[in-house]
Amino acid sequence: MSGGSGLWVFINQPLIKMINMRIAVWDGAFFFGSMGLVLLMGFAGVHSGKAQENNTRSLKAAALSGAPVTLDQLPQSKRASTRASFASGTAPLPDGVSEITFPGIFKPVGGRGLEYTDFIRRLNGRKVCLKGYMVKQAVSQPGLFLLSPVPVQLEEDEMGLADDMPSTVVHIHAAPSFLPKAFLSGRLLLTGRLEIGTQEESDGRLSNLRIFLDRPVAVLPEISASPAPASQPAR
Amino acid sequence: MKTNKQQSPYLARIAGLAVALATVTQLACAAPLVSRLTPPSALFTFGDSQPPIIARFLPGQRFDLQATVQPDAGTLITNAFFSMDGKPIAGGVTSTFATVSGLQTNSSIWTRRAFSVQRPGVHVLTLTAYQNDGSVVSTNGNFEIVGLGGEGEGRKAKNIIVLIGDGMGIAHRTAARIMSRGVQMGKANARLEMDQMPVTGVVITHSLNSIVTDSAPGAFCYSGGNKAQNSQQGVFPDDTTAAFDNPRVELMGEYLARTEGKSLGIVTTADVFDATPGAFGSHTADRSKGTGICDGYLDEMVTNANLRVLMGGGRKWFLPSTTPGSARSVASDSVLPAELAAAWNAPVGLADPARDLIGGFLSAGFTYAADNTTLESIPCTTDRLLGLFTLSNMNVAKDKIDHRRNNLTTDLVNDYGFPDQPMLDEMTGKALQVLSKNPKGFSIMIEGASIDKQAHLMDSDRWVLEAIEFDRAIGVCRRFAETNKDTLVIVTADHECGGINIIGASTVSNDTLKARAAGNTNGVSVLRDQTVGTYDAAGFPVYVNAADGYPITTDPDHKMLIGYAGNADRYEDWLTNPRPVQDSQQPFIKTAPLNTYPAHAYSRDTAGGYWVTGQVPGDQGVHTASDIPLSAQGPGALSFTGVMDNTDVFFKIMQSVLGKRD
Repeated sequence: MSGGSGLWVFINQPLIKMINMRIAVWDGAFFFGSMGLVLLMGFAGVHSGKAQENNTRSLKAAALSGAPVTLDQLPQSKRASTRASFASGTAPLPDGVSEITFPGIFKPVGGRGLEYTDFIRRLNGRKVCLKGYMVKQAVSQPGLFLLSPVPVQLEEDEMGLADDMPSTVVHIHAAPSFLPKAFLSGRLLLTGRLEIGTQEESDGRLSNLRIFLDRPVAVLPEISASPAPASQPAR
Repeated sequence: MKTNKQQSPYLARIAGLAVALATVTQLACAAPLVSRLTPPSALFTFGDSQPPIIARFLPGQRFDLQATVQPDAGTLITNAFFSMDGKPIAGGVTSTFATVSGLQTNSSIWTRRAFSVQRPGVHVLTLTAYQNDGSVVSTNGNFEIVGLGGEGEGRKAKNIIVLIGDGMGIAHRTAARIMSRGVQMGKANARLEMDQMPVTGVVITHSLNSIVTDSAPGAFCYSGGNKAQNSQQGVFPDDTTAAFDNPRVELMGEYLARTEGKSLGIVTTADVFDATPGAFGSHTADRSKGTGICDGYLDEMVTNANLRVLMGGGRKWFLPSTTPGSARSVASDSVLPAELAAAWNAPVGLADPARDLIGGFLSAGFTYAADNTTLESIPCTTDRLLGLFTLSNMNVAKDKIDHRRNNLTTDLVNDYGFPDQPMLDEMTGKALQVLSKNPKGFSIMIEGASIDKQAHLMDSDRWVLEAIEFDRAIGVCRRFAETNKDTLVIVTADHECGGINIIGASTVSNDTLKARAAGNTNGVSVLRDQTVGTYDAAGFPVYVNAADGYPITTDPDHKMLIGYAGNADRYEDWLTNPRPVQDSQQPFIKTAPLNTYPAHAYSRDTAGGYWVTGQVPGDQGVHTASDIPLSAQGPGALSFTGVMDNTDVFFKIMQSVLGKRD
């Protein structure tokens, strides 16, 4: 770790990680289902080489265990490249951003409506990131699109709100500079401020979750191991 | 002194000009215009009084009369009244201003609510309107009251079961039979349940405004006996922008409750507000108004139609808007005009998105089932049942069956959050159990909804399994009818979807097909020319059923192949889509097997490189205008032969219930 105050974050599977100034959550299901104790220690002054070696070992252990790590755990020289690689979905999170997942939004459904998980409630108003698919709609709304855990295609003219959308779909609000100009297929990574609670939207739907983008949408790369299919005729 | 004959020619010209000017002025101040007369008629629209008569009603069936009158500029319509066959119709006529664009300023709408006629025959409807400058306009239309006397089969139908396979054309049935029953040496090994019904007819499906209907008028024709405009159900069109003030037609459930004391059931695999169930339980010019439609189920249909069973998806309309998962909104809610509410014995209603509609049904004595386990355990004394198994549409049959078979914690059904959903035949069995509590009988509409939805997505294997699930529900109804012989069972559709047909079968094994579909760059020559077996090469595809009655796999060797006439652009690899969608939590890897996971319908099956150009714009298949088959059994079934209009079905059903017997 760099100079100045540092943090030792000790994660012991299946122990839960204590929330400090920054919440780093790798997987909502893991976070919610885990239990445990987190030990925080702060150091002032210059870290010894041995301390840095120990930190590296702990980071590796955390990575192997699937536990999340935060950007400030990394050496300063690594952080810029880490931010750049974050968009690929293969790197740790940016500062102050917590990752949420669709399964971690609601508790298992009972006989009535949906209930937010405690995890999501705690993130209300905070910066989050979420991976999902843009819902393909026949009718687009200004400044607004839907993000779904699974690709969904709507046909509003025929089916209206009798749709096949999962209950966890999220309304994404975006300023024109962040709003995709056209439908984006494939997995997307969105980052912005989270807002929970029901609200009537311009598309006539009630949103349960909203993310207000604070940066452009990132299209996550595919892992290609085979030739691309034959190009299709222009539509 | 000059005589008249000797008047100056200049004066004569001036007089002539004055007469001409007066004539032109009078023409410019012509009588007001009646631009709409309801019920709709060819007599009013085209001046054609000959059959077919567009609007028809049962003796005593209630319907609204309405007319839109456009005044001359700067004037107002001050009064209007209706006459039938030259005699004024009693009862109050209310008026309001038109709110649609494109009409003359101060255009007004005149309405006589809840009118009915007992006397069979064609009747001339006249609207006479008065303008405040003394001008009068009068115009004619017509409608028919269909007599129910005469023919019969000895027994009236006490119970009516109408099964609607949404989008199910003749080829959907054939494909379901091939997959479910098999064919060898040219003969089907067994028949579907719907095949075994003794009477078959053909139904014409056009709507009031198009040869191609959608599901709203496509079902209202059966529930109300009349044509409707696309996207509208239970009503005729009008000239206001409000969705719940249109001129109404009394529905089958309402009529039979009022006149016979029968109960009503509505069962669907879709969201319960969707057009087909909605057409049997609501009156609206906008099928998308879910809050108002579902409120109406409780506020109107429980009282006026004896609604006693309502099951399907669509829980989102029944949750307060403050509850996550709700879709209730002011925009989709209904507040009825006071005059309509009074005439139709309906509450005016409130724009109340925060309403707990499940609580309302519970207060009305309904038993509520949120999942299949609860449904299966309802007491046998239950006489009112509300089942809401998903927030929106229920998952499709294939995914429900896969979920039951594999019992995985991570699959599509789990992803959607409702792991314990009933099948349509299970819902049907419970519905009939509950409705049978009424000794006066019942009518019920049972819908296999996603035959259509999956055909729109051109997902062949899924709509075939939907049709099989639908057929199993038909079987439950037929078993019921065998022990309750005064039950009329009708199997029909609202329209055909996709222009579907069975084009042949794969000439290769499933393993070879998968290999051909993976990473191929020459799709047409491989996946079409070397794979699609037509004529003799199609042979007889063999599917093996599991103990649950569904095929073990939808990808056997030499599988049946489906083509679409009403398709949009797409790729095709003939293989079952393992999931209709892909989980965003999983990486999208462009190698098998994950490359078979489609991002969306358009990019599905891309690896095989077989591009199929669609004949319609957009991304989805469409409804077609073709006729659809109808099957019938029970009292009055013999009348359902031949080619009939979809509205004829309503009258044949009511003949079976109400018609005189020898």
